[in-house]
Amino acid sequence: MTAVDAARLQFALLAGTHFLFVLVTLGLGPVVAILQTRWAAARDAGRAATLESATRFWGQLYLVNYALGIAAGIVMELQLGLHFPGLLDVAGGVLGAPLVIETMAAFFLESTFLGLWVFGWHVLPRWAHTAAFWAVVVTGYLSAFTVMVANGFMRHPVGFAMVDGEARVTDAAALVTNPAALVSALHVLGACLMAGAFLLVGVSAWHLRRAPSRLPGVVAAGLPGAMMSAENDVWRRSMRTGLVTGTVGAFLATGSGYAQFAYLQDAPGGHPPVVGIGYAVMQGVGGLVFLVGCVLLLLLPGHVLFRLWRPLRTALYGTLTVLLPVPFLTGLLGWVSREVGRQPWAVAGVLRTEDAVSDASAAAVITSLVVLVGTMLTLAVADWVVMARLARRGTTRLALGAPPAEVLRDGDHDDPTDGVRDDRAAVLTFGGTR
Amino acid sequence: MNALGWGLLLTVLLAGWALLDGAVQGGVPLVRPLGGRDDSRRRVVLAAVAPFLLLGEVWLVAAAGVLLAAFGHVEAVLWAAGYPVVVALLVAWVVRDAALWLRSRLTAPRWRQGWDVTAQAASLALPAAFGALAGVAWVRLSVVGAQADGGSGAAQALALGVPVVTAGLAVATARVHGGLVVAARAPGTTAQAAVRPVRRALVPAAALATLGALGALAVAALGTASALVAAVLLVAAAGVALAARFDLDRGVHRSGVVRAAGPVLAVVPVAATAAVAGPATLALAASPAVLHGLTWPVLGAFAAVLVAQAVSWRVLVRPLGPRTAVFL
Repeated sequence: MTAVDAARLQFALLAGTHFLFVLVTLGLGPVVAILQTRWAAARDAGRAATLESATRFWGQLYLVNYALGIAAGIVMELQLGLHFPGLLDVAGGVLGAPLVIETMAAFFLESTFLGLWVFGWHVLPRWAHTAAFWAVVVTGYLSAFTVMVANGFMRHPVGFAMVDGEARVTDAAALVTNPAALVSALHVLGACLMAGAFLLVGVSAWHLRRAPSRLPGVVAAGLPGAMMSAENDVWRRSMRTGLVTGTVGAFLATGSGYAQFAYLQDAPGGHPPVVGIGYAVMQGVGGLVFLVGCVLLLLLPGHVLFRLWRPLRTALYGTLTVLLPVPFLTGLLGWVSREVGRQPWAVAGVLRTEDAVSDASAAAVITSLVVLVGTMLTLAVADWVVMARLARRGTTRLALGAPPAEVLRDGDHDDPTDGVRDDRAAVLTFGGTR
Repeated sequence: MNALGWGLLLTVLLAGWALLDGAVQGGVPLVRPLGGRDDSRRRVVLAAVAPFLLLGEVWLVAAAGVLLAAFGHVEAVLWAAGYPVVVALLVAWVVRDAALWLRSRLTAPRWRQGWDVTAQAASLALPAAFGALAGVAWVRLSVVGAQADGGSGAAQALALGVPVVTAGLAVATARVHGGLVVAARAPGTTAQAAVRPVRRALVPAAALATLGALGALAVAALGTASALVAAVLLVAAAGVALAARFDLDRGVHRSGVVRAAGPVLAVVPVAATAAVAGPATLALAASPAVLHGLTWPVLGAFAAVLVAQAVSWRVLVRPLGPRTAVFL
């Protein structure tokens, strides 16, 4: 393997890992924000309790996903300088602008507001707390857009001039309204909404499928007039929300996907088979999700979906859970198509990839490939295992938004040492002895 | 904004990271010693530094963004010379974050204890890697690098020794700072217990700062005059560390010197590095057209960030109490 191949493979694997987390962050973010807004506005105590559970459950999954997303993003950020310094030498004057805005404005604010949201849970007034999460969502989308401006420039360079072998911005507006940035950002937005929706629907379906065994017979039969458990209400709401956002997302992703052919047609770059396969799979998945989503949406009025003939309902729920990975695999295929489709160029028509890589030795790059990708993948798998466990645990024992004494006691069975217990009581109440 | 303005912005961002994330780097290694085998005690220590995690590490991300946009050539020089250190920094950072976020999500004791050991190791490796990278900047962004390549024995010794000293300095200063943050925010006995490791770390911190000052003098003697400023800063930091140790030995835990010691020591490795590497960094800045074009978006963003962070700190920094959100 040459240093060029190793650097590209490393970037591809790290970017792919990062993007799997981005899909959930951007897809679940608006859902959590809307759930929390409705919780904040709810007057009825029962409804408020359901919406609070839903906000905390999905918010916690969002956070556990975000934790690794930010880590993978950090590793990505330094990849450009580490392995592709030529890209910065030639196009740094252009790419630096969106990337510095991404870190200084979007990501900086996003992380700040998220910290405020998590750790100010019991301190902030209700509406300020809700606004903090909306700020997380808005800055998160701004962050994604600036990255797409940088990536769009590489795919379809506009608004620049070459001065002494270095690209300079001549028209910032053209850079931002570049179809490879705007239309592609819309495409990514659709894909993210779809991924978030598959998570919502898949997890909710898993719980709803198991619900009968845990509920009294009348409720289990789903008969009209039967009382529904609060937790079941959470999953039904989540399922409905997921079906709406997923169908909208599929529409956006498919529509903007076709719109991208307009600028792709005259772009330089080869068309290896993987690109064609990628396009075909994305078209198929997007179209199918949209159609099936519309059908399921039609079953929502009158809760028809939740009252289907039981074997059919169980089979449907099972299928929806099994299909959870589909938008994630499709999203990865999308990036492979986009990046492979641009080769041999790093910046289409301006800079070849082989001229952009650093002169680090192949051995050094392969070592860092093994270390960084190995670390990242191990942590990512651990993170997904935790997310799966939390998703299965449902709305019981949520750490996010719980009173501190309750959270600190969650591992109580771990340590039955009686000697420590008295001391711990003081700690649990945060007794201010000073 | 000219290159100097961008250089100052970069320094402020790095100092902000050292100050805020330093609390996590220094606080997390205390989780096991102070918490013992009691999980809720461990989580109290974690809760004391938890808000600093999300709100702190973004400062380094932002610094990397400024480095990329305004000082791309500096980044290329540093990454080429310090390739393994950069990889180690990334690994330590990522592992620490994952360990902190994941440890409390499941309740199995072995899961939690395993991540605690991981977090402790990564929290030592992170400042060590950053300090070593700062040492590489001392060497490569001063006359030392060129002279070492030219075969000068003194320069070669400095090129090897400086990164080791700055790595140790970053670890020791983070330990002091993090311990003091835990002492200020945690309740009762945990707070008292946090002072002991601080006391132990102060003398090594002073010794390493003095060694760093000698290194800076040597760099100045070889020809980079701005290193004199670094020497002065490091000697002053050593003085603060010793004064704080004196107060702690007298049993005065809340004197002005003790309170100032954490922030002063946390920031001094960055400030000293800025002094040594500053002139070469500014010389390698991007063209004035690029710097000028980015000025207003970046300053505007920075102003917004400062407001958001100021509001957040007002809300979040108070001693732990019944309204503290415990998540880590």
